[in-house]
Amino acid sequence: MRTTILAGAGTLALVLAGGPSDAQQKLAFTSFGGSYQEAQRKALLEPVAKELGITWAEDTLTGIAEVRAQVRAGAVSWDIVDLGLADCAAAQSEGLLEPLDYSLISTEGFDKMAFDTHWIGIIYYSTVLGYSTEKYKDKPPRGWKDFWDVKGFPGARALRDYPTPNLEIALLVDGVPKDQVYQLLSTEEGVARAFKKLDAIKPHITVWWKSGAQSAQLAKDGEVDMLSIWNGRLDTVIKDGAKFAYAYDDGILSLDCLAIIKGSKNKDLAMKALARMVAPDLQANMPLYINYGPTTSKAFETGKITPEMARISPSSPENAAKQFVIDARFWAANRQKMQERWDSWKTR
Amino acid sequence: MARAATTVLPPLRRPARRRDGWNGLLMAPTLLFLLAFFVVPYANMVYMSVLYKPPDGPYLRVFTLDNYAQALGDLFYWRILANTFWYALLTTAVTLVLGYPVAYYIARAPTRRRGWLLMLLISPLLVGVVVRSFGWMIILGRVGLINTFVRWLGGPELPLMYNVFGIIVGLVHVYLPFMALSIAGALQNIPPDLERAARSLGASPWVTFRRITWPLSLPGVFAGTLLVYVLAVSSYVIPILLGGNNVLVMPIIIVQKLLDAFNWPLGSALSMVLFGLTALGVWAYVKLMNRVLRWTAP
Repeated sequence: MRTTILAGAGTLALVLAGGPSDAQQKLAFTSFGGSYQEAQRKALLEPVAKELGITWAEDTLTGIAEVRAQVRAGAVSWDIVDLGLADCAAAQSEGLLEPLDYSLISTEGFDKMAFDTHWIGIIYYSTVLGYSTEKYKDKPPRGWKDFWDVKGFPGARALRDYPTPNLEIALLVDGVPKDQVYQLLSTEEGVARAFKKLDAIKPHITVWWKSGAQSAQLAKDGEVDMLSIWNGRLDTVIKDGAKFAYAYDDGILSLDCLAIIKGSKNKDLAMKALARMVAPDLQANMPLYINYGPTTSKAFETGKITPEMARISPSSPENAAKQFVIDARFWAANRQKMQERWDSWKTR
Repeated sequence: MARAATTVLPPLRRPARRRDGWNGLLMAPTLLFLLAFFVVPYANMVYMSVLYKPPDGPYLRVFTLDNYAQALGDLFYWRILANTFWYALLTTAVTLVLGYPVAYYIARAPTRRRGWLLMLLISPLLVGVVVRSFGWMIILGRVGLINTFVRWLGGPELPLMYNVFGIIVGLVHVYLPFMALSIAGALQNIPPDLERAARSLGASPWVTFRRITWPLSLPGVFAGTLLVYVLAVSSYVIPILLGGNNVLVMPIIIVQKLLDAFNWPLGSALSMVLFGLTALGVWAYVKLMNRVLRWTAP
């Protein structure tokens, strides 16, 4: 809350400062708030501010909706935005982003699926099944199948109010092999099958969470006994004393990207800052503050990431291999359609 | 004809026309403000609601009534509308029952104490609705104040939040001051002598209330119920926070259409439907209340 207010005040200050010479020195950065944005502030924003002699105005968002609203309304107040993979891909195809200048930005050590013409990955995160160790003690749920097993594992549940990765999870629970999920989701029967599987769990969902901070609160306050949650958020909550646990075996690996919003008033400066933020030496700072994985393997070679940290990182080779990987291309093509299906399914 | 009694009624019926030509100018700043920030955006919304929604992008400047066909032709939206109105009615009823005694106590308190009481009544409004909702989450949650206490007593876990109950609690808390203030205003205008006169003429407290106080306070009840109902119908934050995004009301659906689904035309059409039906309900209620007031006025 306080961050949002401060960030809001920052944006206001930016607007009030007005003059172009002034604005050159300030960049607006928007991300998902909470422990994640706090980590980004320490790991990325502060070093970049020092290096480039700029100041940051921070804001928070919940997804592509706010980016669309700013661009379509012609009232762009942000420069660099952090979005989830599906939203990055969709925002690129909807023309909401500026093209990235890869003569400035190095993609060394990046997977070729981890960047595109208008966005570049900044963290790997895993959507995991978090469960209360207090509630389930020595009989913890093993995988999403147990999440669906409301008799064997009674308790309050929460999922994210969002199509991905719920559709993927539903098909996996329904017995679809990992490598056939997207093939199936590209067909009407596949989508219907996913929603049918979701029908079974819907009455047992206490909360459909909207923001990462909210999911963390649900776990921390013990409002639910198991939920889908981003691993970094859960790690932070566990560090704070919440009796929760998770395993990467049923993790859904995805990434967050950075992009420059279309119509950014400080495009050139934003490009320079973004190039620094995705560089290995700064990315390697992130795991110090929150357990999200760097998107360039070079970050593991900087010496900042200890073997202990790599062992629990969602994007370390061992952990990455166990997980289901989200396909950005599928979501670029289907984001809008699936959101509409999702909304009408959820409200029915 | 007890003329005295009728004059205590705040003038709901239009007072005799006076020559107030220049007085109208006093309204100009407010009207201008409303025109710029209410009428124009609303007109834009009406316009948006008849535009075509292409698969990509928010709208095209092609006129169509499809959005209304979709909004009115789907039983599902009617169900959500019915829920929305029902929760608002419940909220109104509970705030009326809780607010009336409070209002009476305040209106009959000595002037000095009344000031303090009014401040107390308004004080919850000093805290934002988001903060207050989070406060309720701490109280109503599974490991919240009430449930912890009940569990300590050995009772079962009570479902107090992420359901309709939680929403009504939140709404009642937020809108109670509006109800109590409206009624207190009307009650203050009733000379206590009227009640005393009724009692001295042999009426029981209940008869005094039923025949004197209640009818004369109706304009306040009328204003309060109307205000609370309209506010409750359009509330968004409380249902989404205390309902766990699980209990759906029209404002949640509208925001979802506008932002998540990026369907501005349908979102606008749904807003218009909600607005239209709410306005219709308010209109019917005003008609009814005017008739009631005419009956009760001697």
